[in-house]
Amino acid sequence: MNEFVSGFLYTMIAYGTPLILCSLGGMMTGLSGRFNLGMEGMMLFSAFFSLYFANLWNSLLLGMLMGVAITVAVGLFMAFMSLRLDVDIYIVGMAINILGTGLTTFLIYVLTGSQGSIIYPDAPRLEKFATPLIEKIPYLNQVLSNHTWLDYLTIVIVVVLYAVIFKTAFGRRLRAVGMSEWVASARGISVDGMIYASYALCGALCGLAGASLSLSQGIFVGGFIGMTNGRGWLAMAVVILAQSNPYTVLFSAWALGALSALGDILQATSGFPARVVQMLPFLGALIAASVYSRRRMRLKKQMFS
Amino acid sequence: MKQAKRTFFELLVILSGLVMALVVILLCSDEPAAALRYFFVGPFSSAYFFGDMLNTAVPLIICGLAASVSFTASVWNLGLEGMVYFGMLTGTMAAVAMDGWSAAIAVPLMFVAAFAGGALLAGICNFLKRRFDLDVMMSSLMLANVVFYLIFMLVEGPLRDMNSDQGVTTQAVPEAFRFTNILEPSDLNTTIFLALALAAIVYFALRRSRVGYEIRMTGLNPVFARYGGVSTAAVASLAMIVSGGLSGVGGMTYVLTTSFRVRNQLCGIGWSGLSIAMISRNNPLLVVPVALFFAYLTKGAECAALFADITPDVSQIIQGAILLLVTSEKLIEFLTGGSRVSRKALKKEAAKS
Repeated sequence: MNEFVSGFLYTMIAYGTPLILCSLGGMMTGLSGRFNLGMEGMMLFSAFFSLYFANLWNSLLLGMLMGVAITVAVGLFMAFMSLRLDVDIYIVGMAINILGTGLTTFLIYVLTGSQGSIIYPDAPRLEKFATPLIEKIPYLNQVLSNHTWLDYLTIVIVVVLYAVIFKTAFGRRLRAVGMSEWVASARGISVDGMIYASYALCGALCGLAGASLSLSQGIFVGGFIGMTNGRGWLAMAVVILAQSNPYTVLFSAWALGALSALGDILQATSGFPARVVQMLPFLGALIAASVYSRRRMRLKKQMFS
Repeated sequence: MKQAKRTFFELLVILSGLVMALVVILLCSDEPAAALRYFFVGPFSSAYFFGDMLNTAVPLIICGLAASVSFTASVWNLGLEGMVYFGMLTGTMAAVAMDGWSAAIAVPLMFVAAFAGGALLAGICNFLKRRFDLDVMMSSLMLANVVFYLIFMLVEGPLRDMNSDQGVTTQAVPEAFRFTNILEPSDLNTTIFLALALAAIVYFALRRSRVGYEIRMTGLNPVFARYGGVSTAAVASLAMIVSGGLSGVGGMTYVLTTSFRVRNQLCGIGWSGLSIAMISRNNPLLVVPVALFFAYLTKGAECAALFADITPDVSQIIQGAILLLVTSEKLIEFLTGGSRVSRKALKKEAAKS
């Protein structure tokens, strides 16, 4: 029983990482008032490029940096399209999703000659390692030790982002822009600058999320339900549930990760259908978001009556 | 006049996609001459390819119409792909169950079942919106992902046809209910007339009927619509239901124009439908040429992939790029030479007042 619980918690944390990272990215764009629908595409970009360059240069860090740099560029491009060329921000997101699936499969063919997916067994990977101090603590070591360094970095990012959003001038400005662009610009805040910044940050976070997906296994799968497996969409639900607080993002994403982990264990022990396991997080997100929206509706009614 | 000029430049931007294709092919093909020829002329080179292209356009037209109905009411039905897929399954299963019936009864019922399948999902989204105040964009997307896996499970499990020689599929739509081919040797069949008729019907319903007026008002300005006595919540729900139902019908035509079976793979026509509606600015009559152009790009790329060294994904890249360019208000304004007010001048004006 004990092993069951610790295994469950361990899988939950491991599953949560990419979802937490890209939800944080979505949250940053949500804070600036222009929600990014293109996270799925962004993650595909970074999952492909980070793996490709990591294999090419035989360096994990350089590959990740390249993947993140490219998604940051994609984020800036999205903000540019929205701000300067006046394209609806949702349409920009949709287009990035289309380009993400199209360009990655296209580049796979052009660069490697294979169709739809690449496997680099020799590429440097995100390795799991026994964490020095935690390893010594009984019980806790089964849950918290033996993760990749990106998993730990994710927790650090959550803490740092909380401080940035709620304790710095930048965070206040970003939130001000999201609440009212007119008021913010009247107070001397560069609205465009804030939106560019939020999209660059979203690009960086989605870049890390995508890199964590492909670099942990050394494979990339393109297509409609590819590597990302709808995590970009799940992130939308997480952002709705979490309402601009990085800590609630962390716990909401872990909760959805827990559903996957539970399904995985059930599948391994009692022949639970695999497709239901894949469905569970989306079902959970739908129900949780409904309940949450219902509560918000009641609050609104109470406030106005 | 101004509108005509606008449409002209919009078309020009859409056609610039072909220039993009040219550049992409020149950059990465080892035999560019052959690749270019197959890409641009391929779909017109024989009756087979031409019919195939029209065939591809049929579900795209209907999905484009479905998306434009919901977008007209400002309802972001982004889960169209799920509704397409669910309608595909309910329609096909209804057809299989009605095997042996007279086609005159069964074929309409088959489409009713497909419509009902898509509309059911849309109804769930409406219910969540009404009772739980959950955004339709969010609920339709989540529901679509749930439905994908649900259908994968059904197609791989209880509904799987073990005798099928086409991979993991359901049973096929009975021969008697299939539409007649009109351009041998291609698979083009009479469903294309259904698509064109639906485009005309949706156009007249949106532009010339009372409900259509209410849908457009709700989309343009819900506050104004409400003061004008329109029940905006009911109208938005109706648009969602029709959008879901049409996507289901679109999915059914996809089955009827391809392998007559539901597979455990996504076809992506729902996503394409969303792009088509956005590019044609929700005008049901423009949906038809845009869908044909999408089909041309898809088939051109497939043709070039078959006979030269290009992947079919080239078409997707071009579709994404066109979507970005043609929906850019600024770009179209710049091209038509309309209000060319620079941002600096605007800022000055704002500073004065």
